[in-house]
This record gives sequence, C-alpha cells and structure tokens, in this order.
Amino acid sequence: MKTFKHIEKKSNGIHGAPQTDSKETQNQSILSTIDENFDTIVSILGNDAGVTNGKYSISNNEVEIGVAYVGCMVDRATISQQVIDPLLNCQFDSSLNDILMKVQSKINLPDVKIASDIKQVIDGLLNGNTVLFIQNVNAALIIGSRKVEKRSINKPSNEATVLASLDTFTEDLDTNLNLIIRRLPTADLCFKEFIVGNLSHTKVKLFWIGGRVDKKILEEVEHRILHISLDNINGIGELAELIEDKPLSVFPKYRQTERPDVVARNVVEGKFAILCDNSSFGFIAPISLWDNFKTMDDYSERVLVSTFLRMVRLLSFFIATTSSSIYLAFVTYDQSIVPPSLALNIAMGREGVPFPSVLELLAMTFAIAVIREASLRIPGSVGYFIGSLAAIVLGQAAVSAGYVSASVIIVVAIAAIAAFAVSATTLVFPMRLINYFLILITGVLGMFGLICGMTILICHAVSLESFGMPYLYPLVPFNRKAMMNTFIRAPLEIINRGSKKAKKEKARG
Amino acid sequence: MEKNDKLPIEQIIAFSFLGIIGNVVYIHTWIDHDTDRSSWLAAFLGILLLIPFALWILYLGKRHPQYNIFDILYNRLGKIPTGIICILFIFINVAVAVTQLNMFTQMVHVFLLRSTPSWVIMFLMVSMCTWIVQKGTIKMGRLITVLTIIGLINYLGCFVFAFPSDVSVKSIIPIFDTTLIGFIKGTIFITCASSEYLLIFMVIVRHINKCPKYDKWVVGGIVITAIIFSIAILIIIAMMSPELAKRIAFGGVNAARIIHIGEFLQGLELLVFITYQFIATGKTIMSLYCSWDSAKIVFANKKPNLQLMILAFLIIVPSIWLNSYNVAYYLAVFMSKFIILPFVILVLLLTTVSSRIKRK
Amino acid sequence: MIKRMISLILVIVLSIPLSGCWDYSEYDSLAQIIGVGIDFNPQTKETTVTIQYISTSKPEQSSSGSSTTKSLSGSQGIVHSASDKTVVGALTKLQQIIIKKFFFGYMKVVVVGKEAAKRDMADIIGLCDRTPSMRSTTYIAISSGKAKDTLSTIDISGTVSSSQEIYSLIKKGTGITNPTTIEQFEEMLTISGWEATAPRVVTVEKKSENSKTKNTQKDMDQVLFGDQKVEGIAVFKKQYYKGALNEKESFGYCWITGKKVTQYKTSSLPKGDKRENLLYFTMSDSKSSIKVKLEKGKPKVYIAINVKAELNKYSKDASDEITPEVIDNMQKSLSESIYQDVKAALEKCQRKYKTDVFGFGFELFRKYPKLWQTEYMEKWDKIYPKLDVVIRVNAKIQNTGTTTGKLIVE
Repeated sequence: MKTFKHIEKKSNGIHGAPQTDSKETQNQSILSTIDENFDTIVSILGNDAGVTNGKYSISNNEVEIGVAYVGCMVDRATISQQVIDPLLNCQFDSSLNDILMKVQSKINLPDVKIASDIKQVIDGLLNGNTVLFIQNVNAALIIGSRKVEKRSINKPSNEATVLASLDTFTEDLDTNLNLIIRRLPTADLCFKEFIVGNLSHTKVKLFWIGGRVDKKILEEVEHRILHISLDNINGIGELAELIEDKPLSVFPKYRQTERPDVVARNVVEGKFAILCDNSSFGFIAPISLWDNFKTMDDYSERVLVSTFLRMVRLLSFFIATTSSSIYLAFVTYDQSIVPPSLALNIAMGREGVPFPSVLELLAMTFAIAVIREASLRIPGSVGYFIGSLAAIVLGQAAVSAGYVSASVIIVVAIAAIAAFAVSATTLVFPMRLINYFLILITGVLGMFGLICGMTILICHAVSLESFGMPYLYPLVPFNRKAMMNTFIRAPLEIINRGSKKAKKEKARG
Repeated sequence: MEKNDKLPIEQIIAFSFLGIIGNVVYIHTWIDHDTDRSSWLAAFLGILLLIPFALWILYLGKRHPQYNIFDILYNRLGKIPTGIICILFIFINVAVAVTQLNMFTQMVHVFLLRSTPSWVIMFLMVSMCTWIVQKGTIKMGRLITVLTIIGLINYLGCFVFAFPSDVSVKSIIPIFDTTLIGFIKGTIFITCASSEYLLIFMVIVRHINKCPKYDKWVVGGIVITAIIFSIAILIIIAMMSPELAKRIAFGGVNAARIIHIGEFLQGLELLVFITYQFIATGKTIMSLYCSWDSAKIVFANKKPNLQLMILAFLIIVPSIWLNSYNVAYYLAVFMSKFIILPFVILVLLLTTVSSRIKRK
Repeated sequence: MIKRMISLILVIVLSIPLSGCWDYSEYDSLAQIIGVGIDFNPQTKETTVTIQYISTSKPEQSSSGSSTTKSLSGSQGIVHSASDKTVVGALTKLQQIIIKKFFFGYMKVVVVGKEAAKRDMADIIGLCDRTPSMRSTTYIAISSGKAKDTLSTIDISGTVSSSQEIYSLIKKGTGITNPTTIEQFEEMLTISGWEATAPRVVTVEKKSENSKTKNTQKDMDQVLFGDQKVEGIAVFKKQYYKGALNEKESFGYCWITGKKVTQYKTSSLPKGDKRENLLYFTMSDSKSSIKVKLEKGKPKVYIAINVKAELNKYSKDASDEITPEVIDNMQKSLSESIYQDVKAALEKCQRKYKTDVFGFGFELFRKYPKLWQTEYMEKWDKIYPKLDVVIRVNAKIQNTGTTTGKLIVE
C-alpha cells in the first residue's frame, strides 16, 4: 500500500506523546517539604491559576500532609469525603516506612497513582486531580477527583432518523465510551489510547473489534496519530484531516458521525473508530463512497423500504451534483433533447433576462450557499423568518423583476434540496463544490464537457484509497457479498452470512 | 509492485469489452455491403474468432509468468530487434488512437458542438487520458470497469425504448440474403478490426493471474463482448433497415435519433453519445498505456513520465493535422485489413519461436 | 517534475474558458422552426423555401388590440418564404432576414409541393438525412398545390399553427393515409422492390375576405384562413412523384399493407339497390399478410386481409332480427366492399402508375433472396404491371353496437 509511510516511534512519557512545553521542566523532582512543593507549583502555574492548597496533620499529628488542587476542575465533595475525612480519622502505626502506601490504602478511591516528579504533578493538577504531598517524602499521590461538566444526551440534530435510537455523543470522552461499550459489551472490543496536541493534551481513543481489522491498517493509524505535532486539537475534524490520506481531495475518506449506534455498527462490520475528548463526533474509517449513503434507518426499516430509500439517496447524490449542469447543457448547447412544449416555456421564461444561463446558475447556487450560512447563524426565531423571506424574495420577486428565469430557480432549488437528502453531513458540501466544477465545465463545452467532468471525477474517486480500502470498493474491486449491502439492503441474514465468512477467513489467516 | 498487481475478473472483462469495440463501432458499416442483413451474425462470429489468438497469448504468458510479450522478446532476442518491434508497436497504437480520436471528435462536431475547434476537444481528451494513465495499471483498470458498466447500462437502457414502435421484423428476416463469400469476408474483416484488443492483451497479460478460473474469464470476456456487440448491431439494423444502416456514419448514435417516447421525448442520441464518449476515452487510455509500456521497455525506464508526455504529444499532433472523419475512417479500415492482425501474428510467431529456441 | 507538467497542462486547459464558449446559444436566440415547405417553380426554375416558427416573445398585454392581430402572434406561428436556385440558397436568404438562428430540432412536418416532389425528392431527403440538425423523425406531406400556401393557411379559431395541425392530422390518422417520416420514406426509397408513398395534404381556403389579416410583423406574405385536410396518398416511382390515390384507393392501400384502419366504412351495394340499405361499420382492427409464390417461374401474389368491424347502422330492407345468417351476409358484403377498394388501389398502382408501392418485390426478395438479386430485380418494372394478385378478404363483425334488432319505425 503505497500511502503508508513508515515513521519511527518517538519516545514516550507516561501518556505517549512528545511534549515540548515551555514551562514544564522535565527533571525537576519532588522536594521533601510540603511548602517547597507548593511554592514550586505556584511558580510554574502562577498565582492566579486557581490552585488551592491546604495542610493537614493526621494520625495524631505525626504525619503532615499537604493537598493541592485546581479549584475549578475538582469535585470538592469527593475530596473532602473520600480523601480528607478518612485520612483525618485514621491511625497509622508509629513506623513511617511505606507511609505512602499506607496513606494510599486509607483513601477511599481506587484511582490513585504515585508521582515521582513535578511534571506528573502538574499534569495531574491540570487534569482535575488532587495532589497529596507527605512531609519528608519525595513522592506524591495523584488522586482522581475530576468534576466533569457535560451536556446531557440530546437527540441528533444533523443525522435524524425515524426508527433508530436517538442518543448522540457529548463532549465528554467517558460518556461517549459508555455509550459505545454499552452497545458492544464484548471482550473483543480492543482499545488504544493516545494523547495528541502539545498544548491541548487531548485524549484520543482508538478502538476496533479484534480480528476484524487488518493489523497493517492499525499500525498505520497509530503511526499517523503519533506523528501529529499540532498544538491544539479541537476535535475530530482536525484529527481527521491530519491522519487521512490525500486531505486535499474533495471526497471525504472517513465518516464523521454524532451517533453511537452508527459507530457501533461500523465497528462490527470491520472498521475502526476514533473518539476524542471535547468532541461530540466519532471518526470511522476505512470507508468507501457508498458508506456515506447508509443510515441506521436502513436497518430498522423493512427490506423493500430501505432498499428504495437507499436508491433515493443515491439518486439524490446524482441529482445534486449534476442537475444544474444537465439543465445548462440541455438549454444552451443541446436543445434538441428538451421536449418541444417545455422548450417553449423555457424560451418564454428567458425572454428579457439580461444574464446568460451560466451566470444565472452560478449566481443562484452561490446565493443559496449564502442563505444557508446566514440562516445557520441568525439567532432563534428570526432565523426562520429570514429563511422564508430570502426564499420568497429570490423566488418570486427576482423572477417577476426579470433578473433570473423561473426554470433556473427550480433547478437550483432541486439541487440544493437533493444535497441535503444524502445522509452524510461530510458529503453535503463536497457535492456543492462538485456542482460548481461541473457547471463551469459544462458552460464551456456542453454535454461533452459534462461527461469529461464526470470522467475526471470518477477517475479521481477511483484512485482514492481510505486507509487501504479502495474508495469505490464493492463496485470496482467487485465483491458480490459486499454488494448486497451497498446499493440495495438485502435481508440481514444474507448480509450477516457474508460477514461470518469474512470473520472466519480473517481468523484463519 | 506494478508488475505484480493482478487484475480481478471484472477488469479483465472490461478491458476486453472496451478493447474490442474501439474502432469497430464506426467501421462496422464497411462490411454492410458484403453481409447485408447478416452483419450482426458476422460480427458475432468475427469477434469469437479472436479467442484462439487470445489463448495463444495466454499460453505464452503462462510459460513466462510475470512477463508480457515484449518482455519475453526482450529477454530472448536482445535489445535491437525488440526495439524495432516495440517502435512499430508504438506507431500502430498511436495510429489506432489517432483514428479513434478523430472519428470521435467529428462525432462531437456533427451532433453537439458545431463551432468548437477540434483541437480543444482532442486536447481535453488526451490530457485527461494522460492524467489517468499516469496513475498506474490498477487504477486505470478500475476506471475502465466503471466506465464500461455505466456505458453498457446507458446504451441498453436507451434502446429499450425503441422496442415497441420502431423495430420491425422485416429488417431482420431473412438473415442470409448474401453470398457465403460475402459473409466470410465480412467476418474476417470484423476479426481484423477487433484485433486491436490483442494489441492490448499482449501488454496486460502479465497482470493476469495464471489459474484456470481466470483463463475462463478471458474467453468469457470476449464472448460477452461478441454477444453485446452483435445485439447492438441487430438493434440498429432492426430500427433502420439494413439499406439505410449501410450509410450511417456514427453507429448507435444515428440509430438513436429515431427513438421517441410518445410526443414528448426525443433526441435520445445525446444519452447514447455518453457511451461513445466512454468508449473513445477507454480506447485512448489503452492505446496510450500500451505505447507507454513498450516505450518503457525500449528506453529502459528512463524518465517514464517524460516518455508519457512525448507519447501524448505524438497522439495529439497527427490528430489535429488529420482532422477529418472520412480520412480517419479509411485509415482505420486500411489498418484493420492489412496491418494490425498481421503484425500481431508476426509478433506472436516470433515470440513462440524465440521462446522455444532458448529452451532447447 | 510530473507535477509541474501537469500544472502547466492544467493552466493551459483552464485558459480555454477564457477564450470563449464557441457553441453557447441561449434559447431566446433560437427560432424554433416547426414546419418547412419546399416548392419548385418550373417556369423560373427556382426553389421556394417556406419556414414557420413559433415566436417566443412574451405576449403583449395590450387590451385594445384587435382580435386578429392578437391571434396572429404567439402560438400561431410566423411564416416566411424566400426563393433561390437551391434549397440551401433559399435558407441562407431567409436567415438573413430573421434575427434568430434557425433551430430545426423541433421540426414537425416537411411539406413538399407537387412540382418539387416531381423532381427534387431525392435531394430533399438526402439533405434532411445528412444534416444533423434536421431530425429524420419529421413527417413528410406532399401538398396538392404549393407548400407555401399550405403553410400560410391558418385555422380560423386560431390556436394552433398550420404545421402543428398537419402534424396532428397525419399522426392521428383521421384521414386515410400512410404516416411517413423522413426516415421511413428514405427506407422505402432505398429498399429495392418497394416504392415510396407519402401522405397528401389539401388546403381548403375559407371563402372570406382576407384583406384585414395582414401580419403586423416582418412577414412578407399574406396569411390565409382555411383548413388543412390530410387526404389521400401520394405515390412515387423511384424518387419521382407520379400521382395520388383518392379516398377509396387509399383505403385499399391501407388494407393491403396491413395498416391499422379505424375508420367508418360502408358496405357495397348490389346494383339498383336503395341507399337506405347501406350498412355502416366502424373498423376496429385490420391485418394483412402478403405472400409471393413462384409458380411456373412466374411470381404470384396472395394477399390475405383480416378485418374486424362493428356495425353502426343496419339496412332498411333486411330482416328484423340479426341472426347468424344475417351476420354472414353482412360480412360478405363488407368483404366485397373491401375487395373493391383493394382492386381499385391495385388497378391504379399497377396499371396506371406502374409502381410497386405495396412492397410485393420486397416480399419476393424476403422469400427468395438469391433469385431476386440475380433475376427479378432488373425485370421487376416489367413484371409488376402484369402481376397476378389473388385477394382474399375475411371480414368479421364482432358486435352490432348497443342494440341487436332493427329500428322499426311505427
């Protein structure tokens, strides 16, 4: 597979990513006195970072401990109830050997780690953990006490379905993992965690079903994630661009979804998925072009219905990309295919319009893009009003004033609506872009240009590979079993028969 | 890695389909004088007669796995004789591409773009094909498969509408209204014209898996093409009687002008034109690819991309200079009658002889 | 290196749109021609070409215009004529006066005048066939006079153009005729043993004053009010117009060639019988099969015609109840009537025009291809007029309408 680049694994800290922070120094160790440690923390993080610290004497005033945390990140109830209280009420025997282990055993939380240098302490503090120093001990305990602020689980806004489940991911990685593991409570589900982003330290989790994904693909994904050296990873979108091959291509080679059931289904089918902290989307790869047209409704509806709906989506993909250019080709270059009565209507509609059809089409398509952008961002109820106003203004007034002809508006509206009928949000805007390209090339060379444009697009799609899987997979490297779930949705028995065989073959070799 | 890529079955079928019906879609009218109503049968038998040659090439390929015919010649005969043959091969491929491009461009001229200069159309086609060929065998094969599938569905879908009203049995029966000699002449002409496929097959034989399943499909691809092409000719003859079909210049596109669905839909030749564009694209890609492959053998893989550019240039310039449908038609007929199949036979004989000699 | 080459190519390719789109043409710059008429003047030896196209300008919203001017714009079609030595010369002249570019893709009908049909038919067909912009699914009609007059005649109700009217009449087959497209006409021309026919259009002028119907636009000809009638079949020998078949003979032609006739028909009467005894029928189906057999070296034609009909009017003197024998008699008299039609058609085509429009030669070719090509093809012109034709008509009356008995007037 040509696109795989071999990259040397860089040396890791605990969490496995190279870090070049300016403030943190690697070799600073934990000092013996609590006060000195507190001073070190304040000097690194600054006075106003919100670090709270306190000292306690426990075990009949024999042992002194110091507790520090960043106030906005911790759950204070946990600290006071599970950490401070038990320690205050405990009694150690007089020997101070292994005081660290003894203290650890008294704390009511299992999430306790031992830290040996300041870097781990700072990391721990910034992740919402509480740090516990013991006087005269050159180590610290890092106790998990994070307070997670998260949204509740809502209905999907972008990928609505009718009969399938309606929960979505949130920004908290743990909640998302909960939603996934709940659907696949099997030991075959394998995980691997990474930390990416020099400043954001974003936790990234890669998971797959063991035995169903090629080892080479997993190695390649790991290499690419480790090679990321960006400061800030804001979400799956950025992560995806950094690890996909040919990011400049117009087609998306991964699937980005906000629904856990989609992720679960795809993982079962043999793809891997990535979830990332602070992002309510999941990343699925490797996919083919046809995977963008599958929704969860396909599996909840009956066979005939879902086959028909899949055809509708495929057809709307075709319509959204080519309807404007077909209209242009038929009206300006190859008029003989238009039915005669329709031809008269179009001709009469065009009387008096000052712009050539190409310009009209481009201007209207662009106008619809502007309207969409605007209506996304206009607050609240005003948004609906502006949307309908724009439609009415464009539709009615522009036609009556003679700026555009009515047929152009119909064609452009059809193309815009058909673009949204496709279920994958990552494919909607590529379709609009392809639309512009095809309009331009049709405007110069008519039907011949349109077909040249389509050939160029097909050639581009054919040469894409998504992590080793050819982009037009069940169609071009033809695979009969996989075709059962591509353009049609065959009954589940037939689909699963295929995957059982694939599973057996993979297990064998 | 290029040498070891194996073509899957559907790509073999697609290669055989687009390879065989390259120039034949335009020059099949040449045999209509001799075969009249039985031209579809002549086409069917003519294409089937390619099978022995294809099997011969496959046999040679099996004796030397991982090589194509020119590799074998290079190994056995040395640089200079192979160089001469390869250069002849390049010229034949370029000539095939030039005729195909010219006939297609004039079809675009006649039906679609009347005032656009020919060089624009040719330039666009050749640059697109160069870009595609440069990506490699497997991706080229995938593209050709997709084009074949869409082209076939499109063509048969359009002609389905011809059935109730425009097809008349009188144009088909009686089938044998010509002499046997005329029929045989027609059949042999079709064989010679479709032996352009052998030119391609000689080059891609190293990418074919040498097991019985794939052998079956090499033959199967040729049979499928024979069936589809003869059905296409049958439909054309049935729609316009064979006397009219003798004179048409552009095959199915002419015939599709007659189809109308009720009063409101006519002019379906525009959709059939899509199939012809795919055929022209596929054929140009294959000719370019074959020339490139043998050029790489002659010039020992130095700067292959530059060689590709030069070949593309070699195709465009004569096309623009020629710029005529009728001259291209007669050139294609001339090449089919006297050049392509004899050349193929010569090369295969040479290869067989040289491979046997060294074995001894 | 390859990337630089490709970007260079891309730059060149993308600069193509900057130089202009060569074939770009908007709808409103096209004149959608729906009918073409071709005439030949034997005195001046000039060809007159008439074109009719629909104007696509928005109808003017004037309430004060007279009804005639309003009805002449819009869907009526605008007619122009020009004369020159050749058809393309005349077309060039026409293009010089009409601002919009001619677009022949929607052409419905080509009307050829009688004089032109006598001389130039092959040229006209050749032109229409080879020019890609003219479609060969256009219908052909031979005008009984001049094509120019035919196209200039407008129906007084004023809703459709004359080309549209002729087209609808030919297609629907309200007259007894043989709808022929250019492609079918060409087929008949090129197939040996089958001569060409085409529908015939007769224009009947309205006997009203036509002085106030002058067109306000750039028209140069007078617009006439009248009716189009598609009646009869024009008969050709090779490419030359020979004559026309009248209604009875056209019926015969349609029976022989198996065209589906759905018309009214009357039965024949024995001599001296009363007019009230005529039976009226509606034909619902008709089929025919032509077989040519060689008997003693001479070809003999067997025509079998099967017709299905429905009774519409019963005869006055027949029996009150319609029994099977009555049905039998009616069938016989219908068959007799059809036989007469067929004979009339054969008489005219064989004896008078001597042209094989029925395709007997073609049927002989289909049965004995070798013999046709070696022997009969050259001699067919001599053999055909003396050809022996055996006609067998089988008429079947399926039902007698909504009533069975006779209408007895008390």
